[in-house]
Amino acid sequence: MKKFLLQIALFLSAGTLLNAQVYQQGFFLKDYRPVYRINPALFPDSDFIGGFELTRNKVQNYGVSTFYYPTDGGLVTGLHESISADQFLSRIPNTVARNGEIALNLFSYGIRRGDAYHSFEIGFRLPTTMTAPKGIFELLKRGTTDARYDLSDLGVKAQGYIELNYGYGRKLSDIVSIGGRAKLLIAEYGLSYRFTQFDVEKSDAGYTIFSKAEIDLPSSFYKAEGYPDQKISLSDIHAHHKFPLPTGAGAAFDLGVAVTPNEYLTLSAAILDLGGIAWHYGNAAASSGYVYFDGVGPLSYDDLNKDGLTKRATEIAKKFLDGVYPKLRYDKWRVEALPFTANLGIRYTIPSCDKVRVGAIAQYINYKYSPYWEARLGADYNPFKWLDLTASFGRGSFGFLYSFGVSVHVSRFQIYYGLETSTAGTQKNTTSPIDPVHRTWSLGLTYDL
Amino acid sequence: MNHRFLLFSGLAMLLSFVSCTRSEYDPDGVNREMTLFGEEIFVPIGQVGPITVKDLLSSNKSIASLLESLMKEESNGTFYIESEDQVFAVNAFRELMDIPDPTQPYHWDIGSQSCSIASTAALLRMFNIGFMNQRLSLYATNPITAPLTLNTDIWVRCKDNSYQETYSKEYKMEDFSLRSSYSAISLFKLDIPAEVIDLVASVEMNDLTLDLPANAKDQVRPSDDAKFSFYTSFTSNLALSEKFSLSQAFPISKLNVPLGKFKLHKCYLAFDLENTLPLDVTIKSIKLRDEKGNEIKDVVFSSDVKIIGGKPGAATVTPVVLEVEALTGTIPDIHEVVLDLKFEYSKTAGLVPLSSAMSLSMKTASVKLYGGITLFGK
Repeated sequence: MKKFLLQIALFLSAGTLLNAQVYQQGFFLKDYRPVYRINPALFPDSDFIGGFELTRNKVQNYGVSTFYYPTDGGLVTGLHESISADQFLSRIPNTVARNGEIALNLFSYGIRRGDAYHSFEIGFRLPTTMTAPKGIFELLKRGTTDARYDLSDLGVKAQGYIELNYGYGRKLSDIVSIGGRAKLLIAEYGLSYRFTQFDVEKSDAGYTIFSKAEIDLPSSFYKAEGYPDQKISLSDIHAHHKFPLPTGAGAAFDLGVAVTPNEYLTLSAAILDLGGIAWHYGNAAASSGYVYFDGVGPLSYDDLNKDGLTKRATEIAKKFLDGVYPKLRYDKWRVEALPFTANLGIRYTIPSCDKVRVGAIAQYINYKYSPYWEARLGADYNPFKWLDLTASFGRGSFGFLYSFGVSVHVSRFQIYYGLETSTAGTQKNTTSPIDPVHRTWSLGLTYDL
Repeated sequence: MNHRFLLFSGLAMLLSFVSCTRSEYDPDGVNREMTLFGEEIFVPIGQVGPITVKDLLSSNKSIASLLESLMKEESNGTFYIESEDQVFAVNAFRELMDIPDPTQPYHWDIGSQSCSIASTAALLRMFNIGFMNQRLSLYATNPITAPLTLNTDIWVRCKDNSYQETYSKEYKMEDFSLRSSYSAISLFKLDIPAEVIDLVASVEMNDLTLDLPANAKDQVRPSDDAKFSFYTSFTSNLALSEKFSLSQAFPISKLNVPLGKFKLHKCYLAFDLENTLPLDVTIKSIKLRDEKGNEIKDVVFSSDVKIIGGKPGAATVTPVVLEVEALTGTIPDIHEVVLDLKFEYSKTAGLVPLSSAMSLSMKTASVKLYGGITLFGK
């Protein structure tokens, strides 16, 4: 059992790249029940319940090809001397970012009442972000050729929260529908370590490092004991509650409108995840300071040996750590906005062949680091009553992208699976994308009532 | 049927597209060799040293053993030596026993007496260490409770290494009254001119006579240590003479810098050499040695860098850049660095007394590596 849980945990943590991402390809799927996730003004033909739907996505503006180069002698890293600095650094974005999310929808319920459609959902979301500034790679590749390096925005973050939402969509007329979803977000736990400032300035005599970092560990399981401004270490963090009590709360809203001029054509526009979470960082710390490094000296003549130099290096490391050591923070509340998504869509059922739908959809995700956009053309083919197939292609922030999806009916059950991805390719024997990638896959099961 | 065939063919193509791999990015056999900081990397070292004048002089074992017993340090850091040397001393009771008629005054003709001054310190002259600000005092003790009259002709002589007299001073003391005192009586103090760096070689008291009162024997103080004595007290700072020249290797051992596993071609060691030694310093060479103590000959340093002498409060600062370059391959592991330095009298600094504040220090030392540091991957 432990092994199984461990595998689940590893799987979740390895995936860690979602950000309020929905399965866009569902817009084309004829029988995609939770279509209101794309636009709350769109709703399915039938009532349904669903459960254990998993959506996972990642958006990363780098890939294997960002750091590795094929040569006649095999694959080399960008730090190999055969790769020029300009060649290597031109491929690296200003902030190397990896955003991701795993969204597990535990329960869905959709019901039509007259011209209105109501939906309820309970789910869990685990968004993660990892960022590294370009300056780090510049420093590693070129060395200290510049007088100043900005290495801020180095950090990792993972946050877990429960989402309870209620959606309401209504036909205002035969043509126009509107909808909205209200989401109650219950913060559960998180981990964040981010340098908001990390400047390295070089002078003739040495380096000055200015550093500001924020460390957050919102969790009811553990509590950091101490007083504000006290230096903290792992030994100051003790077990607290045994149950996952909330560590914050928030709200978000989806708004949408759909226009259906005739029975074949649908136009859709929506904005999703407008809102945020007020996190209570019961275990928050910050560090701020600067360290001046002008060498390992003063060294006496007797210090000039390995032991003496090692001792001095250790003293300097301690001095640096003292300068940037995290301290408990007074301010323990912080509101963080969710990255919102805006999408536009159009779909058209071919009158002469109602088994085929064509259309287009575009979306923009407002990630703080590396915002993402895409637009694509798609089609849906419903050859049999029990089978629905869809595919699309287009362009996005990372070049060409495509997707496909399938939905299968068995009695009243419907299982669907879909994958959207840019043409990043995958490194052999690994799951690492070769190029920058946006990839979403979704798997779900619903039951028509 | 055709529809189904097309459909599943399309799906198969899509699936294969999704899972496509590019053979050129095969992770097997990745060459993990990396060259970091490819253009340059600046590594500050800071201040290194100082090599003090004491370190310098102690690097010669002979000088070190002499200085250990002689050299002292004033509160201001100036080094000095001091010694007391006896010219003449006799027990008062024993001497007065032989007076023919103790009830009559007695004219005691002692004759000529002399002594060498700081004879051990004189050995320092062999190493061209001179003496500055020499101060010589002559004291006498009067063991009886009545004053005595003293007559003598005193010569103080300085001689060079060849025993040629370079300075002398004569004092004539006629009818000098040695008052009755428990403590020593100062006969004279002499400050040798600062430019005389030859050690006071001798003090001679010629035609020394003492006139004793009647019944002198009965007036001797009741003490076992009642003596007629004459002795010198001598202090002197040390200085380095014009002929001073010392070539000394300063080994920096047990470094164990494992450079061999990196690919390093060239680096510059830059520093400001602050010199308050009154010596011109020449970096004759810098040698690197491997674990077995063998000289690494595949690396060249620029050499024969000369740093002008200074003194405390008037340091000379000389920017120095040393280039280290591997002739072939990479700079190997370094276990020892030997600095071969030559120290010579500095005309610029002139003659100054040695002090602990005199030193040679590397200020703002730094290393710049060019061409990167290559880490060899597997």
